[in-house]
Amino acid sequence: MSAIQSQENTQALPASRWRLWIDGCGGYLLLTGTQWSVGGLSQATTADICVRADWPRSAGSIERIDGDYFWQGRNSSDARVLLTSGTPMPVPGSAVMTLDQPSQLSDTAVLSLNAPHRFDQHVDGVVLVRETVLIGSGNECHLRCRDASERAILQLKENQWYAKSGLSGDSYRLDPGHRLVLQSLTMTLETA
Amino acid sequence: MTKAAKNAVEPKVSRSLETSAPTPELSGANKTVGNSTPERITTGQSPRKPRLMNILLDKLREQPKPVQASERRLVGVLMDTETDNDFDSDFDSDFDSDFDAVNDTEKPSTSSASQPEGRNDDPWIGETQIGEISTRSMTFTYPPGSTPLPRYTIRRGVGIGGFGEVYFAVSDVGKEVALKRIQRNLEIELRGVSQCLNLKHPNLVALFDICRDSNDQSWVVMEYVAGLNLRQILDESPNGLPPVEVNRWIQGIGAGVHHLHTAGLVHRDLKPGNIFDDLGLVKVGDYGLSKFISSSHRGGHTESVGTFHYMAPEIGRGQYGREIDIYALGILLFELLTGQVPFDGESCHEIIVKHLTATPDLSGVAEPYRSTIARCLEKDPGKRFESVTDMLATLPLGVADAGVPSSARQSSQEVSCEEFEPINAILVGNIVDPVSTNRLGLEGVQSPAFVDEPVARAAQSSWHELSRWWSGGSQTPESKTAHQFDKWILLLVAGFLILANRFWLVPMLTLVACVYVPYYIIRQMVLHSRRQPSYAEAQRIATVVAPQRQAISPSAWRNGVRNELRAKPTLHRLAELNTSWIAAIVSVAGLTLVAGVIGLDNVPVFASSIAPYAWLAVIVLSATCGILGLGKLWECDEGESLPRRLVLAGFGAGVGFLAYTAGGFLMIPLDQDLIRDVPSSFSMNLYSGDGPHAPAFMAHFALLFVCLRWWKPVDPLRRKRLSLWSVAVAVAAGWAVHQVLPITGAIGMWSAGGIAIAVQLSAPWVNSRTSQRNLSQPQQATGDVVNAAQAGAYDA
Repeated sequence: MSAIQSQENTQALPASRWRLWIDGCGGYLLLTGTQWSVGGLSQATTADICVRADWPRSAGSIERIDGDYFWQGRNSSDARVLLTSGTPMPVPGSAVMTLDQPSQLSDTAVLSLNAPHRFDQHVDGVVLVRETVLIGSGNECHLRCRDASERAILQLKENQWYAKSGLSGDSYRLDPGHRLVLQSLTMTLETA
Repeated sequence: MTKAAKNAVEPKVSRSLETSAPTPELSGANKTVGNSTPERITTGQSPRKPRLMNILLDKLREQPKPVQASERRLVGVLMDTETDNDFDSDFDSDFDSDFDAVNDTEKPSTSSASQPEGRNDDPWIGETQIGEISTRSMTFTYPPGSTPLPRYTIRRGVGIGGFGEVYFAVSDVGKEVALKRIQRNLEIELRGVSQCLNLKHPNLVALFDICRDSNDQSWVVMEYVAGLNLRQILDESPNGLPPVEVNRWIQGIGAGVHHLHTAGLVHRDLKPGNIFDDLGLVKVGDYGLSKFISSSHRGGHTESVGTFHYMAPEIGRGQYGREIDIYALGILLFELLTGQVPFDGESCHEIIVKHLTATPDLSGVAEPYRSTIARCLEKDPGKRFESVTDMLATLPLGVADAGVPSSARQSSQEVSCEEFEPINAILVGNIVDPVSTNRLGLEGVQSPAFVDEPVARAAQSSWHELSRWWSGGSQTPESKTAHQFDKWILLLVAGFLILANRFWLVPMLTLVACVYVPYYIIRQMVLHSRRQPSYAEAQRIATVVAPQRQAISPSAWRNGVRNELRAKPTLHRLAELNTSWIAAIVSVAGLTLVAGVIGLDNVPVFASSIAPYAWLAVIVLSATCGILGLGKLWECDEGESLPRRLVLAGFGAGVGFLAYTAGGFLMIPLDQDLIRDVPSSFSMNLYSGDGPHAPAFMAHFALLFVCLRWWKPVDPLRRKRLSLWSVAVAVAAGWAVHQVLPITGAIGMWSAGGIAIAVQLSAPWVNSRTSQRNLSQPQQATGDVVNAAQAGAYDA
């Protein structure tokens, strides 16, 4: 940890949704829980994960059970489908969303969209968080920052985010609105 | 040279300028900045003297080999440049700062200035460390949420270029843009941007506006590119890209560069880091260094531009034109194909010298790419392609040919933007074309092109009118009769007229057909290629035109069905287990009946003679039910053998205890039919004069269960529903265990056989043949596998 820069922008509020902006890397929506609704963006959108695409407002839901992620269509008669890394979700529409679990050591998964579609809130990906999020340049990282010189680990403990550089680094609180510099990574957390 | 090292050397040598006063933000404590296109700005001592030049000179002096003429020329150019006062003042600073930038990037070795001169290699090591340094923390001035420009909210920093910071921002109405804050070389950047501000081309990153904030800072508002740059893509494909991708990239790059050239601009900094894949569309960006260069005024500049790996040799002479972009395109094409650059080295100097003197090794590149690259990389600019279109015309771009407009192929100097078609649109057109309704057999689907064709539409309308008249008419009987009469009269008249005029009518119709049919076909093709499908149409096409079924591999099939098993709800799992248990009861009853009928054929039927069969049935049924339960738990994955065997050992011990208890309950003489005398060492705990004790039974069955993989016969993905081989193996294992730990009547051996049969008959089984036939569909592995498996291949 070289330095911590903090700059308050917004007030910190307990939430289960956050936006994480990493300079030079991307923006990500962090979601906790075990089940998340998925749908297309509309004025009356209530889905947890909104996609700017021709998807129905409620396309289905993603559920995490014992480290496995399952897709459940909006109709109860739809078969529940195990989501494996890289496999497109069976949602009718032009957007192709895939789920990846890059790390064998974490149940956290990352949702990404194929071009040309984007998530709501201008984020590049959605992270379904289970305790930890790995940031770095390697393929095993949840958030791939190709130019990151070291890995960083985000941990969620009692609705509070902590960040540390590598496995042995010191842990620092990552409060919403604060800007944190961890080695080559500069990140800002916001409540979403 | 490694990728990192390549990145290290890749940083522009011309654009990290420090002649402008550094902004206050950058002179603070945390002033080290780097970015994805590695550049580093330091506020340490930045000597104005171009240290790289000294390094090169020192190196050349200390080289044991004689200095080549080209090297002397290079050094001469550098030296002349240093002392030349005639060049454009803008680029004076540009050039100076180039070397400052390189100086800065070799920061770890800056101490080399104070090191003994004998350490010849230090500067070179320093140069190769540029990339490592450049990955340091990027610290942007504005945090997320800032609004330095009205209407735009910064979300995050994107990178730091030679001219300033670039941010990802969102406008008040949700438009995603990139904001470049020009911090250095304001005039140069603004001049470059202004020249390009009104350029419109799908393969160029669009520049929207130049704004000033309340602090009088200049910002360039430009298109936000969400995709990766080519550098990142190539880093992930170290052996190059597939030919289709190569064609797509080079065509997009070529189209964008050609547009710059036709506008009288030279990009001057083509490199993978400046080329982006914007959601499928290739975009050339960062052309702020672009400059108007007329053919008469060919450069005359002495600044060093571009990046070492992509820098044409004539740049050192300061006399160059658009040929430097052609040269860079040749390098890019080589790198796209092979993943390597043709001129690589351990230092900037080595790379530059190779550009000046070396012939690229193109032996690994196939024709016609080899010839194209060779001509692009000619040392003499006059021998290179005259234009990008000439270059692209030599490549087998196929479908992608459309990416460069026809007008561009004619080397036209004046090309309007409208003549360019977005590559993605063209590709979509080509995708749509092969799936026209005729090919698909979609008779019911009318081609819009057919409907829109005027002659066909008129003929179709007339035919519909005639058909309606032929079949319709008044409903009254009288009028209907008259209508029938009219029809026949008309038919006769028409037939007579045709026969009477057949001598001129047939040739005329033939002539019309000869003209109209080609016209119609061409029109159909053109319209299809230009028309983008609607979403609904695309969905229909995607649904109807499913790719050819492909046989899936057994492993893929197993993975798919295994995933389906994992996705099964717990309730379904319990229901299946109940079904299996019921099947097990029926199976064991059947097996017992068969065994009894055979075994009691010539024996009087008494309770004592039936009891062993009942005993066997109890053992087999209990073991079968247990194994079915464990198998249901373990069916989600292949699992590890050792933990399962340990669990089975414990379960076997339980079965053994049950067998002992049931034997006692059924008054089975346990001391009979022991195949041999039990060793005395066993007798203490396991055996006595009355026969085997409970521990003997427990140990016997535990051993029986631990030595066989009992989860295999209950695996739904087993090869056969009932494998006699596995039954034989189980019996053999039971016999072997009986040799070690004998129990009454070799009941263990019979139990093993019975269990092997009963579990296979009772456990669910997925017929691989049926399932694979259903699953022989492309892609969509998980969902399709699940659905197909659920469609009936899963035999409970």
